[in-house]
Amino acid sequence: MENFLNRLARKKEAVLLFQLVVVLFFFAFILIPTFYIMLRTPSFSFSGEMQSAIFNSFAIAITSTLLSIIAGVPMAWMLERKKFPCMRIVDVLVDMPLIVPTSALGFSVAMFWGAEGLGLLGKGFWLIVALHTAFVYPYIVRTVAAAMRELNVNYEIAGRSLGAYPLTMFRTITLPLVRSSVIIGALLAFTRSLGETGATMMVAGAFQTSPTLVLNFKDSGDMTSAVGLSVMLIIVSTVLLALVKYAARRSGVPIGKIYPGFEKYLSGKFVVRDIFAVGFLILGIIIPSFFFIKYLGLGADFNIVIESVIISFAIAAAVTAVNLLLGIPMAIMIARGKRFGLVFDFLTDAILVMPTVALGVSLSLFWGKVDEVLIIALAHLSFTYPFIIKPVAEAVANVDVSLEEAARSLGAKPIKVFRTITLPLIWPSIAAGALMAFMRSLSETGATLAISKSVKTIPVLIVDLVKKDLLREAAFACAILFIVSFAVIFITRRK
Amino acid sequence: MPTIEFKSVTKKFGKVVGLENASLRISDNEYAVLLGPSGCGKTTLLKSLAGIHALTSGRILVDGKDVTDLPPEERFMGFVFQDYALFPHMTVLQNAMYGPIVRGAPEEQTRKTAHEMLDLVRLSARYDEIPENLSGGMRQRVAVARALTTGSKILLLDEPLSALDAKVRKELRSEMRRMVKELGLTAIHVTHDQEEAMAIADKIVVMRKGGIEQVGSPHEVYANPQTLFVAGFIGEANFFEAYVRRIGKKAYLSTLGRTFLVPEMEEGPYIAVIRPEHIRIKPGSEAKVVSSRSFGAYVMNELDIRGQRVLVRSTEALSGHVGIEIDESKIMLFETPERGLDEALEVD
Ligand SMILES: Nc1ncnc2c1ncn2[C@@H]1O[C@H](COP(=O)(O)OP(=O)(O)O)[C@@H](O)[C@H]1O
Ligand SMILES: [Mg+2]
Repeated sequence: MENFLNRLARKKEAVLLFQLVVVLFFFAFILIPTFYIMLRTPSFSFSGEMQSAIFNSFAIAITSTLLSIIAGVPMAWMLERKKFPCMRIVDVLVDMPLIVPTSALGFSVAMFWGAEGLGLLGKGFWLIVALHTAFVYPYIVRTVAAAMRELNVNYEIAGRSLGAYPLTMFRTITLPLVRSSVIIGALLAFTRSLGETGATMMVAGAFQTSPTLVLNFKDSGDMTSAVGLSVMLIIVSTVLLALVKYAARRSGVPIGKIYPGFEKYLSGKFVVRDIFAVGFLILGIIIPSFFFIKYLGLGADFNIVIESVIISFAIAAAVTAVNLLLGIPMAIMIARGKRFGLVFDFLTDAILVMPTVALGVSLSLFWGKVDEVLIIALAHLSFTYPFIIKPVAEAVANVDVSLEEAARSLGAKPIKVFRTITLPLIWPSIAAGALMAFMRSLSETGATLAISKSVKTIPVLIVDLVKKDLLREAAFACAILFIVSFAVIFITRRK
Repeated sequence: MPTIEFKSVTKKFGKVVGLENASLRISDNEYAVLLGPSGCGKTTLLKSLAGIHALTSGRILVDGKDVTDLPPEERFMGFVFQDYALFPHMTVLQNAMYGPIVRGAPEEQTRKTAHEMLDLVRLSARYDEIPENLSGGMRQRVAVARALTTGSKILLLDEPLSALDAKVRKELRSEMRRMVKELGLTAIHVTHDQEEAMAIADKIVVMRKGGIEQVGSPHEVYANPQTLFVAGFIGEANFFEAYVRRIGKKAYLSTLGRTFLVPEMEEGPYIAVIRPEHIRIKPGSEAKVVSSRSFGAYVMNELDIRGQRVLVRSTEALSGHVGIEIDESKIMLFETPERGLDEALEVD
């Protein structure tokens, strides 16, 4: 096999052909279908209904992102700077909503805050905020915690030693240095909230956000409005992405005003902050996420669920496999070529922040008459692509080229070098990317809802079951997704 | 005017011992150097003084005042990190101004002090640049300036020169000593380079395995090492097995096949330590020259005397066979260590 590959690799034409396939795949199956909708904006009226839906979406996204920053940044700080033994558990808990599908989360959160649980929040704005905060919170915590881990602690120690009280130091040293990560995390959170569909539908009631309105239009056959609003959503999220990328790259925050007395006073209140951060995590994120357990029990009709489980896993596995096969070579080309790295980076990010419901509308228009399951799979192919290609490209770029050169000079052929040096080094990123892609496919709701007519993946089924008030079956479907999510967390954390 | 006192200081990181029962006194306006192999606890000692590490036990006094429980921001010590830790998002001037500003000092006055300090380290021309654009030596000087603008009278330097080229290193070390003396500071400088320590220290503190082996002037630790480790770590030395025998009231030391009359001593085995410069070359055939390397000002020779390797300094390169003469007044005798010579000299 290796000999064959070596001979093949020496044939220039074979290599070129392969590269061509890889690039074509990117354009024909990922990029063009995704943005196809942009070419199809027919004249449509921007109705008052749409305006208020967009306004609602923004209000929700801003509120839940802010809430997550306020509670998430202190949590990130605790995770990275306090090495209590119990922090390991908190570390895993923080990720739960990131991995758990939003539809399962939506069901659980709605039950917790709603009449069945605390009875505090009815369907509508604040319940949606509670839900969105739960699933965007990990984005903030993770990005900020990662940036803090990278940060040289000597900067912070130096600040303290020069006379800054902890809060002053945090504000003048830590925060400016992790600022771009906070911005990126906030962007991810914001666009995720802006685009979330399935779970939002469950908790919205009569309240309309942009994605739920897109689905409404589509269900009522008003494709013109569905496309129009989708395009709006795509434009908004892409422009936001561009702005944020620009803002994150600019640096330079002056020391600014210092209030020694006041900040010294607040620095003494760390216990309050820690209790707030942990309390928020438990009450706002974890318990609501697990509340569905109350509905678990026998007597559910499992047959409805089993079929969806099979479809979901089959699609997720196939999609992950195809993306691995054609995404990794692309990632290597990008990392090594550096020619269109920046553009490509932006394009994959654009797919990442794009509301998937818009993607669903775009793909069902683009592929038209193709079999429903296949369109769903193709849609999943598009939005999972960045999850594999981004980490792998980054890992390849980080591989020290001199290692490969050393292997070559020791007599290894290129394929052998790849297999024995490069691959082991980028393997963790490939594995992580594949898991993310798999989970994303398994849990996606918006695009799938926009495409699905009779085929139902697990998340779509959950939305459906909740609508039909079949709560036991919904809880059972949630439990399956939760168990898989736990298994995934367990596998990724095992190292 | 500060004096610093460590009283039985112990710092453990879980099971790892960073410092064990270390006691030390550093006087006002003294340039003290902590010297020892890496991992021996130098940084831990410095960081404990700065309040970055909380002690496991022991006390630290500054001017007689107990500072053990103060947080770093209330200790007023200038700390220069091994990697300098210049704030990358601030200019050189902003770095230098940081200390006074976060303590609430007025901006105009702080700017003036910062410029003065940058002047002192010859960097006033580069005040508006970000640290990334400076060379290693310049960064080091900015780090010193930043530590000094706080008005701190104690300067703590953690291997401040180890990241620099040999030439810059020599230049900066004398500059640093001059500055400390001019400003009337008390400095503690950490290094693992014995030459650097000899060149700048008023007082050398030799450390090993979390403890303090010996404290003394550079001359003292070189000429009068208290332990075999210090003798081996500072300068070059020959270690020979020796035996003292008493005949009547006199004590005779035999080593390297010769016998010397020595002052009153107990009979038994010893380790004799002889520096290479205390052995003279004379005509003869007793020793075979194994190698002879010139260091410019002197030549270091490795001789073989009855299977023993002996380091000898000379002015000219040697070859063939030579004779040697030992300056017996310079022989240092140590008790034979219980766990062997190798263990006694081991660096970690
Ligand atoms: N933060 C820490 N956590 C755990 N062990 C540490 C830490 N800092 C230092 N040590 C350990 O304490 C010992 C002394 O370290 P250090 O003071 O850094 O040595 P030196 O500065 O002399 O090279 C070493 O064994 C080191 O591994
Ligand atoms: Mg050190």
